[in-house]
Amino acid sequence: MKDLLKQAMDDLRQRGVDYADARRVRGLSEILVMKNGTLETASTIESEGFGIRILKGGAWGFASSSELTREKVSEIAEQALGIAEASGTVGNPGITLDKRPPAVDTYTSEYREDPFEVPLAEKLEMLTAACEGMRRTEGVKLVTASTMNFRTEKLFVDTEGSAIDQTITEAGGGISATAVDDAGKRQTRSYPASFRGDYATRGFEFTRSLRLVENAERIGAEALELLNADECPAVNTTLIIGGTQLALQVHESCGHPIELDRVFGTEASYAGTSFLTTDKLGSFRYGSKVVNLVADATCEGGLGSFAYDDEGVAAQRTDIVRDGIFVGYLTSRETAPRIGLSSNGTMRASGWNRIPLVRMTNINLMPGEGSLEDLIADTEDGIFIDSNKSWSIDQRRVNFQFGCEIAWEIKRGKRVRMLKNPVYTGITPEFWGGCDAVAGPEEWHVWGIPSCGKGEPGQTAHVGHGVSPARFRNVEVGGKR
Amino acid sequence: MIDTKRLDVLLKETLANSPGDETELVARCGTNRLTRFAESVIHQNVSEEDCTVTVRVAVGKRTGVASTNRLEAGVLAEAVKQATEVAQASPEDPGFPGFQKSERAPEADTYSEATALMPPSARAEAIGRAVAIAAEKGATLSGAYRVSDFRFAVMNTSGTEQEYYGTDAFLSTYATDDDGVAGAAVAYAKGIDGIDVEATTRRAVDKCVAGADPVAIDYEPLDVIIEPKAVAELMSWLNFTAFGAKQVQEGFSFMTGRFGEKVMGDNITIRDDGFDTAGVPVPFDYEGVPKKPVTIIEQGVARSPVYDTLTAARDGAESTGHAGTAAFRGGPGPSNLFIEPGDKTNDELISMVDRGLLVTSFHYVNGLLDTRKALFTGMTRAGTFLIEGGKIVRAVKNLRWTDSMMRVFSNVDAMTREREVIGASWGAVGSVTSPTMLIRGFKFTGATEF
Repeated sequence: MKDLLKQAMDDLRQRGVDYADARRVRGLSEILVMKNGTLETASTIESEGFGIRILKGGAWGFASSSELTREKVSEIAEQALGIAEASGTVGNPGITLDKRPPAVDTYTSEYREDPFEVPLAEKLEMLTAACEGMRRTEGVKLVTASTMNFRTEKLFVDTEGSAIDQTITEAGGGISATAVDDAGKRQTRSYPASFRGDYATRGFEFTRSLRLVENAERIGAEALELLNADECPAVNTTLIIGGTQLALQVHESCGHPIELDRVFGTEASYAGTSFLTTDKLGSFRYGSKVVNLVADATCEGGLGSFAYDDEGVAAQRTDIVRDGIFVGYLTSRETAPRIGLSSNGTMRASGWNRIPLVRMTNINLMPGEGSLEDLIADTEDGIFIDSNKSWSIDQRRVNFQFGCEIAWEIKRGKRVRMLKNPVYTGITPEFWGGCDAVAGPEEWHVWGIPSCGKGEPGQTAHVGHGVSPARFRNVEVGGKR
Repeated sequence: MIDTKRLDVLLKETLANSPGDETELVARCGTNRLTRFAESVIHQNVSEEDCTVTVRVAVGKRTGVASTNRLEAGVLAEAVKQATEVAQASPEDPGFPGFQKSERAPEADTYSEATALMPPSARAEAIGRAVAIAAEKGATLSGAYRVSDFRFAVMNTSGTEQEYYGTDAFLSTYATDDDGVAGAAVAYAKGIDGIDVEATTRRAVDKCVAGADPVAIDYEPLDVIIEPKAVAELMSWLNFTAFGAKQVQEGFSFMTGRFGEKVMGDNITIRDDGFDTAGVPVPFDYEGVPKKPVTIIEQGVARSPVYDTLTAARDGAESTGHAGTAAFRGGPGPSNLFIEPGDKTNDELISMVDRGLLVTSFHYVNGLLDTRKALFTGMTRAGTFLIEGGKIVRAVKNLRWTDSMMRVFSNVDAMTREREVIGASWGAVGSVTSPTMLIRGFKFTGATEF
């Protein structure tokens, strides 16, 4: 297939296209979801195919097929060419790409234990034991334990001479317990994060390190405790946000608004645009001086790590917010030149049948100092909140509201009571402007989110967020409305 | 694309040679083509042809699933082997009812040849017309125009054999002015002859023009008129959190334990009907079970969720033909949802509001705050207008709302006679056919800067 796609690139170059690339991708997923001791989902999913993207006359065309034959490669190249020509008939966008040397390389992400080689029985035993552990608490009615494993084999070639093979392996899992009272009221606790847990660009050793079984009983007990906890009051207060929730806060209020294609309006009709317009680059105060954010596709084991993006640009680390000032975007070969820069390698496609888009890599809040307990001890009056339950943010990423699974009231530096149904809301730059402390490296963890959505047709990206718990002043916290 | 006859031979051979006690094969093959435009130029333009077969094998009461798009005899046999191994290693599900034999689903009006054959040049030409309409009013246009055609087939060792050919078409238009003020409109139909590009674009452009110079208002409970696109966004979350039997059985749905009780207003009837051509028909589900009409809410009373075979067996009921893919069991869900209309016009609804808002669409609705109360949050988007004294007086900046859908749909004062079919932007056939609604006392809880 590599030779066929290279030949297609040669042919297209001779036919005078501005640029073309081709990707052959084979994706393999294993999904195991156990609910109350029964396997709700037990599936392996394989999807393989290729796509050809052509820039001709300043306009894009893309076609793709799951049929890997010589005839189909020719047919798809013709289709993509015809689509590019059609694209150029409506106010031709005049797209040009930045210059970069071609890359020829092979990369395989590191893992110690191949998740696809671990016996199914062993994985099921782990999930079964986790379910049993959570159900030891009376009142816990619904328990879920899951693990997902992914392998993506990618070949990239282009008309500029790049030829890159990458194989990326990812793994992880999570558990959740729901306690229900006689009136049908319910509360759920999850571990290590809600919505199927935590993931990394590693092997099954990462899943083992989560210690799902060892944490199961505690999570079940917490679910019941939460069911009987007090409602979170509506109050303007100091908020300490734990890692799993802060990862999503970074994701929604920093990660998406720094996507430069979004800034230029290409998601306007769907996911939205961004308040971080280009006039703000280098001068806008995004947050307080303790807020330092980077986009780092080289972050070891991060779910947003790789060697090359899907335009053949090497993985990079880019400052996004430095000492609170907004200084960088996620860019592509198309968007970066529009602000006088070169791509920082964030174009990613979710499969062979999708074009690459500017996507998050690992968007990391850099650590400060001290532990979570130090932060709490240093807080006179406030709330500690964690584990996402709901999320919503406006189309320019300004007004947000998050609901979480759990919170604790803090009085005089101590957690004094558990609170249920906590919700907080804010305006992005005001909120980050109120950040006065970020915990240190000992609390820092890259949380893997395998479900970041963007684009039409829809694409799901695997991204990471390195964070330590952080403290925010003057946050509007409320119970359920 | 693999030809139909070769695929059928492959599927039948695979079924016959499966070592499992029971085997089910689901094939979805087709082409999706989508043209995206922004700032009045086409910036993404894509085509995809794929054929995926999902194999589900039962060994006793244990099941396993494997899915592949490599359609070769050896690969499909390997998928069957994998699914069988998963099934053998799995714990028993005592509630697994086995694969059901279903009668052939009735024919449904699901296919438009012109849609299947629409070339990229025709989509570009349509978008060119739309862009010109926006330019007349000084607006730029963004959006997407998608057409899809597919064959969907289900067969199992119990004797079910279903197939249908389908198409659908989706257009979104999003007009913006120099200040970023936006207006949105969408269209969805079985085929391109149901997509009125000009009319849809004009609606978006008119909203954009009328939306100029929005002012901030205090957020408080307000009467609100929400248009079908906004209603559909609420319904899609209710589909996910409440209307399926899995959500009901797990105690996740606001309808759990409330069947036969009033959960919404007398004027709210919500039903699903896979064969109703007022929406976009879907004749059978991922288990090959023909769609049955289901009244979910009848005059405000919770009547029934939609079922697949597993959830139906748990309740001693019959599947209503609403199973989703076995590759990831999210449970059954509606596919062609209808809200019964009222008797008003849009203007009559507006005249009934002393002080309130007209909302074109919502953004980033989330229905997970408290699913038992159907407590949702979201933002208004792309056309939010203040109504005073029965008239639209000006545009306002967008607001956040947080409210219970049980309360919201108990406070619907009136609805329009006219309904609109709202669909998804990519691939998944499914629609909500809804009127515009006047809701009293909608709870707004925050504001944004634009």
